[in-house]
Amino acid sequence: MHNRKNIVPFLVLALVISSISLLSFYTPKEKPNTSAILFKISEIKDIIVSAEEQIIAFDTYDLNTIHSVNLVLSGTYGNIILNPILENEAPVFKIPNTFTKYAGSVAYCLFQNEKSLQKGVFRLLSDTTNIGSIENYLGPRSIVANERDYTMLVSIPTDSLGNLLPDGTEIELKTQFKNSITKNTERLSSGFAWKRIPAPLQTGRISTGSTLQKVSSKELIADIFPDLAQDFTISVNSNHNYADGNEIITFQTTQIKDKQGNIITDGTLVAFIIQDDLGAYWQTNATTINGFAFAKTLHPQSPSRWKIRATISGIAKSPKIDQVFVSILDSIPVNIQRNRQLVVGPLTSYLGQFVQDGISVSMQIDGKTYTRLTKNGEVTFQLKKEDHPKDKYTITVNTLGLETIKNIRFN
Amino acid sequence: MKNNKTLYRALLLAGFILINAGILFGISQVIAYLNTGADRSKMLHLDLKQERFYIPDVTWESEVNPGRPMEEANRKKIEQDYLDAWHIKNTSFFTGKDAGITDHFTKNAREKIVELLAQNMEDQTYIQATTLSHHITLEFYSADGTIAVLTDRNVAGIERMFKNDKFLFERYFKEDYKIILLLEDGFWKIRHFEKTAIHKDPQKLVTVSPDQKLLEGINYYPQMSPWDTFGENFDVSILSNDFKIIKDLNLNSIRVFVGYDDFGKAIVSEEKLNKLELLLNEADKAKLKVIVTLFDFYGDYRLQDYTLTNRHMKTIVNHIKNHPAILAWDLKNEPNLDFDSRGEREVLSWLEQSISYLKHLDQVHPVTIGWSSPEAAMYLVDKVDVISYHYYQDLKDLSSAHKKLTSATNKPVVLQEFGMSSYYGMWNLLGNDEEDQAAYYKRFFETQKRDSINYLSWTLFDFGEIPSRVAGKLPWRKNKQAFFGLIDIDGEKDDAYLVIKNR
Repeated sequence: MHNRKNIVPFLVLALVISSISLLSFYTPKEKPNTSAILFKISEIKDIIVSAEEQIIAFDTYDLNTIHSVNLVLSGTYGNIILNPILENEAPVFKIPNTFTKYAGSVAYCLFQNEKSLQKGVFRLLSDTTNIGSIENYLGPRSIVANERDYTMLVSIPTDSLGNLLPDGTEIELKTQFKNSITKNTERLSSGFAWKRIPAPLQTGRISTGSTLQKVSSKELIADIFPDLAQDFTISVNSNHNYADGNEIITFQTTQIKDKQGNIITDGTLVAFIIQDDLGAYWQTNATTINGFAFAKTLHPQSPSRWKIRATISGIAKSPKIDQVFVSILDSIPVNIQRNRQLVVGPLTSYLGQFVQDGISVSMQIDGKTYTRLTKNGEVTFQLKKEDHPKDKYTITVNTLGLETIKNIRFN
Repeated sequence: MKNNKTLYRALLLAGFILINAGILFGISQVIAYLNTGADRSKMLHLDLKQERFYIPDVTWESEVNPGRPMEEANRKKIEQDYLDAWHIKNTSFFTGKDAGITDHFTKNAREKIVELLAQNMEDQTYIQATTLSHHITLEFYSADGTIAVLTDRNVAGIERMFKNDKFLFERYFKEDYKIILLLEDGFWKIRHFEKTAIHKDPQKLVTVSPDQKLLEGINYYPQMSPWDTFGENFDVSILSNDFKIIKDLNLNSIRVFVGYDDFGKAIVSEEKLNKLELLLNEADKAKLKVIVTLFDFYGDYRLQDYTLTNRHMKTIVNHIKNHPAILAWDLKNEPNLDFDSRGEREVLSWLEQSISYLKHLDQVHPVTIGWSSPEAAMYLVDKVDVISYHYYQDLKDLSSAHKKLTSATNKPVVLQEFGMSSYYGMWNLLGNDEEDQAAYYKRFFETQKRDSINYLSWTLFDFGEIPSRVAGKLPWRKNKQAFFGLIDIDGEKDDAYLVIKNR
């Protein structure tokens, strides 16, 4: 019993095996041929990028094992792996638009079980009939009006899907300055066109733009600033030339310009360097407006000869000019009063008016120096008995660049 | 009673002090924690060390362009940012995340990548990729230094594709790209990127024969620094002494090991290179040929590591490839032992790539791989120049194992490691002693002479301390490993020494 039970399935198995082997024996000879190229897709030709998916059909296929086949596409940004899809009972590969949108060479490979069945290369070409936009880049954005400087316009046009256009495509690069408009037709190379725009010799703004077919770029602007300042001259302006320590003297430049005659940029710092006849230096600064710089300073208190020069540090300078200041007094009146008071003054100016308050007067006596400031044209020194007992003295009075020596005697 | 009272008092006092000490300790920890972190000196991140994860070979083929001369600093910056973009893009397609894409691609270019990433996420497709070499030409650099147009020709790399967590296939590629970079926010970002050509990569390797008739040698570590030849104890006089002993054994070659970490990974240390060169000088003086085993203790094999291991190999190979003592390169010691932990495919793929890079660096010296068994030695048989295997089984099967290999290939076959440990003791009471070792060598030479086997024995010295990374921490393994030598720890020559010498 046991034996019979076991034999039945074996018999069935044996029958099946023998029938299969018989079948395989009798199947036509073409089978080795088809198994050699069981799957083949039609060769993929170069296509133009589009937002539509692309369908790749099979030349030969076997529906039973179709799901073991993959199509691998390796494009510019990355790879995708496609499974076949049945459409109208025929298998196809659908390349999604995330892949067909972007231009570049694509390697494709038909795979089955880690084995490559078919390989090839095709290109996704940019769509030259649908221009999307033109990106322009301009730089440097501020240049100087001279023969050396320039700015550069770079135009990168793309199709409506953002792909670079093929080399050799013509694009018009345009620039405008004042009344002149320049147009150049350039050919794209490596996806872009560029143009060097030499600086005009005048200050102002250059506008740029480019056009391909009927699509235009944005306008980009570069500013032209004046070149380096050229040397200039200065003049002085004052009410009088008395060394009264009161009047204000004004230094003034001529209009400072660059080599091409453009007025230098407002706010350029001009330093006026002054040297007096004792060899002392000082300076006063001013910034330019419309090419002019004005600086002011006080007259000296004692007669002097000033040499003045203006410079724009490291760039331009003026020649030196002289300014002479003359004394406002001929002599210093000095009087001794009974109560040991030494009165200097009244000091009068060039019209006979009192000198202004605050002029410094110094007096030396017995090796000591006293300094007072004038008020109403006068200075009074009180010489105390304790300091200066009864004797003969020589006093020296200095003011406004003058000196007077006087002998006195205290009783 | 009174005693008890004092005891309670003492306990109370002690408890009080302990609790207070605990509280004080706690507070001080909190204060210490709050004081860490905001260190003024670290505000500028001046001490940040940059570790590089991706170092492909980059050649600037031309910088001549009509726009503006390229400055060295900007060229470096462009190169760095451009390579980072590749790295970030490759990483994104593997992880499916767009981290870092913003820093390296402008808005329009970014959209294209993110779209494709989403597509691949949907399809469960992952791509693991790396590039190995770039050849950059600067086509244009704008006057204001904010646009750079590059052509990158023959970008060579490898990619592996996975779908639904299943490996699909691996391929090498060689492609040309056109790139427009814009300087944005201090980064050179990719604005346009287009693959312009796809080249066929022939990957043809030329087979090189070793410059030595019959290889008779020994694996070498100095006695005092096993598995650490180029370490702290490196001493030229020890080497020259040891090499005299090897010469006394009438051997013609040695095998030495260059550790991947030991030599500084991708940025190889100058000091180690010098030591390696000194060793080669000594070997040359002793008229010994050297097989240099690279990548010792390396075990990663990831695709992301390829540029790093290539850079490591390039520095070492270029430094010593013209040295007269070099006999051959042994790419990796026993890589088949990493099949289980790292995956056979990953390991073989790394080996294949490394062989081809090594052959690109040096077309003169043959390349081999030190497989741990004769069975494993048929891997990559058409890629290597010499087939090497290690044999620690019974000697009676050596002849047949060797013949099986020699009949399967025309390439030279080397028995690169064999030997017997003369350790017996607490952990191995039935172990072999020195006499057994001598007998083993005697039997070996019978087979060797009959079959003219190229061989390198393991090893010259018994060692004192075996590093745990070699044989694990178990004492019976460690001790066994320490007694493979022909000269014991006291400098006494074992019987096997004479067997080899008078073979």
